[in-house]
Amino acid sequence: MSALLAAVRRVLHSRIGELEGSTRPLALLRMGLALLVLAEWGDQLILVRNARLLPAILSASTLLAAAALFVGLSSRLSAAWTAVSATGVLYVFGAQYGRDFIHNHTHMLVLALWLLALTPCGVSYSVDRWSESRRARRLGQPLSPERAFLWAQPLLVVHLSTVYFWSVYAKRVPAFLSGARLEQLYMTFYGSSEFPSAPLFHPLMVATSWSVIALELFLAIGIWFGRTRPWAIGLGIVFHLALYFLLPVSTFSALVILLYLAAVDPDAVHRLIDSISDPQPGRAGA
Amino acid sequence: MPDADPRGRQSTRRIAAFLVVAGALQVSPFAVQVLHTRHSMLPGWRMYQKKGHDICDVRITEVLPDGSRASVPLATLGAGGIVRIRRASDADDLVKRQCAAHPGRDLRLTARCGNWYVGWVTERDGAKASCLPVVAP
Repeated sequence: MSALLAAVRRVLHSRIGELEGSTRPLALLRMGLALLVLAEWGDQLILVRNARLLPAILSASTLLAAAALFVGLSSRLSAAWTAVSATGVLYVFGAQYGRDFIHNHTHMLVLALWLLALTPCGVSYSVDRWSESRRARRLGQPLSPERAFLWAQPLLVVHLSTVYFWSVYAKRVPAFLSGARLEQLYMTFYGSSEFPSAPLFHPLMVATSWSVIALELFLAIGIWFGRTRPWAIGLGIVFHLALYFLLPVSTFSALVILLYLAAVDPDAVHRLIDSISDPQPGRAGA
Repeated sequence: MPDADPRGRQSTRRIAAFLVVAGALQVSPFAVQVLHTRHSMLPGWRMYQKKGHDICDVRITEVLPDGSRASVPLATLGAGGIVRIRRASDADDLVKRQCAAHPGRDLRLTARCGNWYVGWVTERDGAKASCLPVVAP
């Protein structure tokens, strides 16, 4: 038992407590989440739609915060600011527009912003980095590497796994297991109130339902292990692109695919970016 | 007393923070899905559960004079285009309009409507004639 505890402790220290790596993936996540905030709410937050005081303040705050987050201006503070504003948007606009405004994917986006605020998301590709490089040049010091402790980055993966796991838990009802939910979705979005007459329709919906459950369970678990991670991410991307194409899921697919970046080895992302970058920076202006 | 292993203590603190936040992420779905707490601000991650179940699978058949049954396509009942019926009562209205337009037809309505938990719930079984007999004044 004590050997098991020691092994768990070792894994926690190496995978969480002492996890150090490139901050570039977090920078990409930061920019992606900021863009998703604008894609999800941008149009609803313009002043012409919210002439009242509190919604107008919240709207302006969210738009400014998302812009600051995108460019990486005081990045962690901007992430927290965006998270606070977006939470306010959910509360205030949710109360105003009802359940039509509050969705699982908007909650998911807001929670991702809160988690992002715990990470060193401004060390790379940011105004923060730019000002640091200017200062280092002025003082004749070397620029610090794009590395940091990344203990909070796996929280974004926990967030993903949590969504998948509880989504599977919700699907344990007879409606889903019998294929009826997918039949209803098909009839609502593509068909009519006449049940499709194709003899394979019902078996196909049953098989698809069980496949979705198996896939989501695999995604919840498989994303944590090196051997299964590429499969999980590959299948997950295909699954979410299919969802995006087949059903009105708004920014959900883009959000999930973006969050997969948190599961990838940060140094591998760094090396990949290096491998496709100009080896002689500064040459473009020459 | 000097700290023997400050790096190890920092690592432990990070792990503790990680576990607290990871645990906190489970609170809302647990409250919603297991404890059945209802609040719009608590995400339960029941993805797409509220969408698309307000539809009925509707079949209308006509009992012909020889006792045989013929299926009546919904599109031919004057509803036009794609017919999506959300409630069994809407299907009743559709059939009643047909009864009024064509007195004497013996139309039977079968309708099962979507439910997020059980799937399909049979609401009209087609056992009785949907058109009431015309009563002479």
